[in-house]
Amino acid sequence: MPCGIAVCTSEGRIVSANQRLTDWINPTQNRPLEGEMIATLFSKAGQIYFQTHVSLLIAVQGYISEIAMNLKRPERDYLPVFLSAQTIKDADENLNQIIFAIFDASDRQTYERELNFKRQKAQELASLLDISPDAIVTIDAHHRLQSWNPAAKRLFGYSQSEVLDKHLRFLFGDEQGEELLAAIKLEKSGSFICETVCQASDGTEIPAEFNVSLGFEHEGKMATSVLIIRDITQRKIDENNLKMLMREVDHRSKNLLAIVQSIARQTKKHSSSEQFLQTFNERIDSLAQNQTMLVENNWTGMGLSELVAAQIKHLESVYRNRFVASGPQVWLAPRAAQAVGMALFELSTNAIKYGAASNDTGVVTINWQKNGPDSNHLILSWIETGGPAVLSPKNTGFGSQVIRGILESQLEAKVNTDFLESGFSWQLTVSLANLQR
Amino acid sequence: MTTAIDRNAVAVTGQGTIPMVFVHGFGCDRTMWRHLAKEFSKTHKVVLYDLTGSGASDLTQYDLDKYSSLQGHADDLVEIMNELGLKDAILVGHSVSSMIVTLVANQIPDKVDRVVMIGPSPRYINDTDYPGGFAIEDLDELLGTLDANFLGWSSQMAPAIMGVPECPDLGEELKNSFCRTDPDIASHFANTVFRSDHREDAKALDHPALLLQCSQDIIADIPVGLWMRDNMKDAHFVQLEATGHCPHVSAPTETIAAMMPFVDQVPAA
Repeated sequence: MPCGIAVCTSEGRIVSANQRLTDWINPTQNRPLEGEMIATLFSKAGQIYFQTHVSLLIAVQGYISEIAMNLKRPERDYLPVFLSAQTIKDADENLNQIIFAIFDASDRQTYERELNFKRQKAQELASLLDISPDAIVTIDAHHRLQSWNPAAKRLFGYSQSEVLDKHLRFLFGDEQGEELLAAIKLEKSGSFICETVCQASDGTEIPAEFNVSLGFEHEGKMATSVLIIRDITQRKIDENNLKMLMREVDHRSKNLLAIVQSIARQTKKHSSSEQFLQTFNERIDSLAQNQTMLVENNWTGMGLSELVAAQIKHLESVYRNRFVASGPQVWLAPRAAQAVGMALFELSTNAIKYGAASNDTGVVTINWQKNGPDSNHLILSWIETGGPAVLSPKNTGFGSQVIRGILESQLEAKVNTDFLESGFSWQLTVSLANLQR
Repeated sequence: MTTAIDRNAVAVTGQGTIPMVFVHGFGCDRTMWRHLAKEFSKTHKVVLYDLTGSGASDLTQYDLDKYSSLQGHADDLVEIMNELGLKDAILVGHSVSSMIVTLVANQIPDKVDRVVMIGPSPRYINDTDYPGGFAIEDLDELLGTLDANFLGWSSQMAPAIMGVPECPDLGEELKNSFCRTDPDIASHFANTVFRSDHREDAKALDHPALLLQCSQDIIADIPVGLWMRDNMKDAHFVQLEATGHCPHVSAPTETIAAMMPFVDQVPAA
């Protein structure tokens, strides 16, 4: 017999056992098993399981099939077996005998262990795919999409069934992704990283970084390739912001140096050589404090009166009464305060370098009012008079970006500049809603 | 708010007024009481239920912290007894549940009249001068066996249990849930059971206790039974002919006969 057989009393005491079972338990001495309790043939833990589960199942349902157990061996190692049993009843329906069949499960247990291990690994991988913040997709040898994780669905807006078996090209708009598609075709194996733009289901363009791991060639055919797709929209925005910021820092520091030069010139003109150093130092301190306040307030937003005052405060001691500001209270959100503040700073710097504040008599008038239907617009004017003859600027550098371009693009504002005989003037028209958003 | 009666699938039957509450042990569910429940329902109010995590209980209520000690299960039984308004109860515990009923009797002594312990053991792991019968390594192997039978490829526990024939006194839903539970809960419960140590609680019990000791019980062997007899205040030790760990399933007639005189005594007060 290929399996061990034991016939037991209803209590589980062995009445007879076949040679195979006897050999398993005691191959050298052939000690008879008759009279032993069947439960004692199993490992200690097996005996607990037998008493708490197996014997109850037999009693309640009359049979068991393929329960995994360990048989005790004389060399202290265990033989993994599958245990099946069937009860036999007598003519009066009373439980009479239990027949146990015991199969060697060594091979099957090895396979099962391997299978369980692989299954566990597969589950781990599957949960990684599910929780990955990056889109992870696979393509077959013909570059057709074969799997699609939840992050891919979030990024592109397609469900798995919508993309399955579609060519990878499906994720790109016209003339997009050519470099990536060509590289996948050409490389065939290995891995590479590539930045490109792809297209979501609603047509949105998504700047993305592709980490591609190409399948190895197998019998002339390319196996599955894995693509990890990371949305780099925010990274691109951050990169642009950083470039812009660096240009602004450069521009501002040049402006500050121009102001310092101008303060030095003006201070020298109006003070004795003993007073010069002290007055000059005080004015530079005031300039530094003003810079600090401007930076701090940019985070919270501020009233327009405070913003104008802050931008021209450092000029007060030098250009007494030559910068005149007036207008009602208007609150600006941080973004608007930043943009308008930068423009005012730029305008004041220009006035000192070339405009009304570059001689001894010119005046700058800054005024603003609410206008338009329901007073829902702000008109802010910067008017210079009494300065030297005005020249139209030669180039349109960062300065003109600040007093016009940024305001137009960020606040949807309208900016007018005039280079009149009497002096330079600048006028900003912007909706209050945009200032306060 | 879930009631304990719902959570533990409590069923009440029987003709009598004196309540008998049966608490199943590790491995199966209240189905194992079917012979005893049938007999004692002729004279008593019989209360059957499934421990949280077993049988038809609400598995979602299985809190890993609460049930990491037997006290969690004892608290459940106290709740059940309060909801049913039981008093002068006879608590019958099998195996590990002998200790659950001991905890309850110590906790609400006035509502418990006496306890019956079938195959009891206050601690399974050997200790100095205490013959529990097992080493901690045996527990690890038991957990492996549980896993093999719950998660194994070919020998699934669940399908083997479907369709239990002839249990006339039990509902269909009970048969299908017999011995089946969540594999993680089974492992957790095995850990709780085989790491428990309630020797002091057993010594502290004031109530009369009937100890039914099987012959050749690997799980609660005779030295354990004798330890309990010698260390408890009011123990009535009975050695059964029946072998194995579940005489109420394998030898119900002998078990009932051994219980009858103890159960039928008139309550002390």
